[in-house]
Amino acid sequence: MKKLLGFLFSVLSLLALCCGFACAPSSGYNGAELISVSGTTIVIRATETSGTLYDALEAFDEADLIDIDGEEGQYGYFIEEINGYKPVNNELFALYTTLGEYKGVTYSDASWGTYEYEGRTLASAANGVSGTPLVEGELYIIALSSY
Amino acid sequence: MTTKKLAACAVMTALLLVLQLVLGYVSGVELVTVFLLCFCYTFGITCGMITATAFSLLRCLIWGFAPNVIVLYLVYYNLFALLFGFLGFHKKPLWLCPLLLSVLIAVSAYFASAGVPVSIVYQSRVSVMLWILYAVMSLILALYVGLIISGKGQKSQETAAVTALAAFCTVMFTLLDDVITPLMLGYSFSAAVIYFYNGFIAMLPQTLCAAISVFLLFHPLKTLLLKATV
Repeated sequence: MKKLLGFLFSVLSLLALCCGFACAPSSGYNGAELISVSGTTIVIRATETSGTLYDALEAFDEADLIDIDGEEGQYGYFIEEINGYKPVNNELFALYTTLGEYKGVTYSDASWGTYEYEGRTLASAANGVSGTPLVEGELYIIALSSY
Repeated sequence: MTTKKLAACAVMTALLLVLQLVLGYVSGVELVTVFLLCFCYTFGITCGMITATAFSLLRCLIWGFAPNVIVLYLVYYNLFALLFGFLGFHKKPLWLCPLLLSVLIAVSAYFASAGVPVSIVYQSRVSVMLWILYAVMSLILALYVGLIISGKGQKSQETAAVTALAAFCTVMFTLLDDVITPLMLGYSFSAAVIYFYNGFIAMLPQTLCAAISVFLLFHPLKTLLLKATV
C-alpha cells in the first residue's frame, strides 16, 4: 500500500513538473535575428534554416519587439498593420528577400519590385510571410510599398 | 427576355455576390460555380451571360477595381455561361466526360509524382491535394463508365458529365489568370512561371470544391431552378 502510494505520488509530481515547464514563457524564436525596426520597415536575418518568416514574426511580436496585425488568408498570413500603421489607398506591406532559388524553387523575382538595403538589392518575394522559409544567412524585409 | 427572367438574373447576381462574400472567409470553398452553372443550364445563354457580366462588374464594389481581375472574370464567366447555357439545351456527347476526366487524372497524377516547384512550406499540402484530386476524378470516371456500360442512370451520367466540365473549367480559370495577369501587369517570363506554379495552391482546393459541390448540388438546384422558369 505504501509503495503504491509512493509510486502514485511520484507520477503526479512528474506530471505537475511537466505542466510547469509547459507554462514557462517562450524564450523567443532562435531561427532569426531582428536586425532593425523602423516605423513600418522590419529587417530580419535568418540564423538557421528552419521554419517560416511568419514563425519569426510571431515570436518577435510575442516578445513585444514588433507589433503586427493581420489575418489568415488562402496564401497564409496577410499583414494588415505594422506598429499601428495600416496601409491606405494603393499601399500595401510588401516582402522583399535575398532568398532567390532554394532547392529548385524560386522564392523571389526582381520584376515584381526591388528594395535596396545597405548596398544589397532584395527582390520581391513570390510568397507571403507564411510561405517564405527561413534560410540561414538570407535577409527578409517587410516594407510599405505602393502598387 | 421577359421581366421574370430579368428579375431572376438580378436575384442570381445578388446571390452569387453574397456566396462569394460569405465563403470568402473559408479558404478553398466556393459555391459560385455550382450556382451559376445550374442557372445557365436552366435559364440559357442570354440570362447566363447577363448574370455573369453583372456579377463580374458588381463584385468590384466589394473587392476593388483591379483591371486584371475584371478582365479575367468578364472573359471566364461569360465563356462559362456560354458553355453551360448551350449544354443545358443540347445533348451532351458521350465522349466529353471521360475525355475531360482523363486529362485531369493524367495531369494531377503527373504533377503529384513529379512535384510542383512551389515553396517547401506548401509542397506537402499541394502534393496531398493533387492525389485527392486524382482520386476524386478517378472515382467519377469509374462511376460514369459503369453507368454507360450498364445503360442506366441517365441523371447520374448527366451529373458526372457536368461535374467533369465544372472541374475542368475551374482549372481553366486559373490557367486563364496565369496568362492574363502576367500579360497585363508586365511580369517577366520567370515571374510568370513562378506565378503559374503558385497558382496550384489556390487552384486545387477550388477544383475539388467545384467537383464535389456540383456533384452533390447539381440535380437539386437544377430541379429548383426549372420550377422558376415555368
